[in-house]
Amino acid sequence: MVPIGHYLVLAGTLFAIGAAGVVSRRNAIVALMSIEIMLNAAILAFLAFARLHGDLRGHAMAFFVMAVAAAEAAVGLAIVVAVFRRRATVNLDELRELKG
Amino acid sequence: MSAHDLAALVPLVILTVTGALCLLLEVTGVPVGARKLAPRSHIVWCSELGLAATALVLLRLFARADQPALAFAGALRLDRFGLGLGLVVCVAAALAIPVAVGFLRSRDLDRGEYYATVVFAALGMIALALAADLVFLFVALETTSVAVYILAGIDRRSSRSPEAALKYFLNGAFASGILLFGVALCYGATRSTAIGALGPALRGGDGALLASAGLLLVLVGLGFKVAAAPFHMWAADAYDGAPAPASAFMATAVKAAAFAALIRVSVNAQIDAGSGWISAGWIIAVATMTVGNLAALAQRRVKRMLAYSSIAHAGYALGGVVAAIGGHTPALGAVGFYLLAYTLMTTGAFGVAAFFERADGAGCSHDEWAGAATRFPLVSLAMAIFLFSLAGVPPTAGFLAKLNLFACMIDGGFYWLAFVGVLNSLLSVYYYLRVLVFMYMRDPDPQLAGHGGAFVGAGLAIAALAVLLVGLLPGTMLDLAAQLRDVAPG
Repeated sequence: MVPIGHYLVLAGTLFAIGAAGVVSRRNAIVALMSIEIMLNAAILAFLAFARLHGDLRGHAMAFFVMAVAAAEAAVGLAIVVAVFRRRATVNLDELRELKG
Repeated sequence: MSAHDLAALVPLVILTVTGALCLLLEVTGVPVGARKLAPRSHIVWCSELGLAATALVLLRLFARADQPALAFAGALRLDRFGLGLGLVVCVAAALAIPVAVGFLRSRDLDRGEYYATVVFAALGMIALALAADLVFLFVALETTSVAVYILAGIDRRSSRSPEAALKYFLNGAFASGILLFGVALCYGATRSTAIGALGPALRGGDGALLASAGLLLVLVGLGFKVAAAPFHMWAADAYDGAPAPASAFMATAVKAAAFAALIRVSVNAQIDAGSGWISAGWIIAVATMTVGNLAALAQRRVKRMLAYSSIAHAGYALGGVVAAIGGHTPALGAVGFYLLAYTLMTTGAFGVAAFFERADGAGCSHDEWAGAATRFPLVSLAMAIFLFSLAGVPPTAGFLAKLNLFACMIDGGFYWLAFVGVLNSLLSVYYYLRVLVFMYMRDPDPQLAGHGGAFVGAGLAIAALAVLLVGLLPGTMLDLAAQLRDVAPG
């Protein structure tokens, strides 16, 4: 059996990769994907802790997170489509109408 | 199901039904009795009645909540603090809907979906204010956030609104990811997701380090939502780019609900008065108010100035939160009262911006508002009341709330925090009154036009009267605020 610590290291690494992606990548779709990686890292941590504690609450949480992530992705992609229709780009560096 | 479960369910069910009804009325068309009204007035009335009913239920629960009670196996906590901030959310939504009507009609956005989204967002916020479990808190926060992303991007044919929504969405979803990972760590440390379990876990044992890391991530996630420095960068773009009526709602209701969650988590963590958490909170509060004020000084658009001003006000409120975490319980009521006053005056000020806003964000700069007082005397008078209140001039709600908040900081021993707060508030007088100089002392701009109407007029008038009334009845309001003291596990 794989020890719990390994799962947690994996979850932490995925979280860091996701966070770094959001901060450094300028394409809105890639940023959205990075956010999904962060959410999945959290799910993995929940499941690892659920195994550690022998508790089912972490499993239930995973379902909540999946449902929420789906709702978030639906709205997020709709916003990206709205931006692309009007501005023909989804690069965050080129979206500079709002500043001051 | 116990009686408490049912009681907690009632406001949430009313709002769900109201939102569904708003959507339904959009598809079914105008009922016979409402044919003489302006199009979709019945949907506005439907959402307002739903919010009023929710507010009445919350008031009734507030009156009965001497003894806080847990509902749904600890997911919600019915205490006066949560119920009070739930009422603030109802007020924000009920004011943000009428002031939106004129702008929405002018942009052909006047659809049932807008009102339904506001109502669903209010549902999420009330749930967030009552949440006593981190799982429930996350779901409530996301219900709120997803609805508010939609509101920010509702004017999808304009070039600014979708950009604001995209920036708001990416920052908000990033914050949710951070918060969720923090919840996972807290769950690992405490073997429970109850907010009340955090305090004991932090004070020692195997999971103390894990619980601290989890708490830190949860607080950072909530810090994004209240736009605390250094996580405030998104707020100016989101509030400036979103349609003004949506900003009126986003800048007030979201902040009130996120502050409720922030306070509940941080007070339940039972942090030692001398620990690094307090110093960090102190520094963040000072940074938030100063950054917001300095940036607001240079703005040439009223909407963007109001966006930075909302960051500065979050800083003052954070100062109160720090005093509350430091063990000074009356600060909880002071923050709650401050959020009420802030909601009234900021919804009103953004409502006036919505009155003047035209396509693609035009009609919202200082220059365009020149001489507005000669052409729109009543709206300008309302704006003057809101701006004096934001600046903290007596006898307005803003003055009383600020005075009470700074007094609490001093009583709690945070003298420097109160001192920096007062200095910042003096600084802010300049940029608030500058708007009035343009409105009252410049030659009128013939291009300026407004979207009037009964709803807009009523919304602005009620907000302005409420700002004055709260300021003129200090005794009643402070007594009410003093009851919002109980957030720790009972």
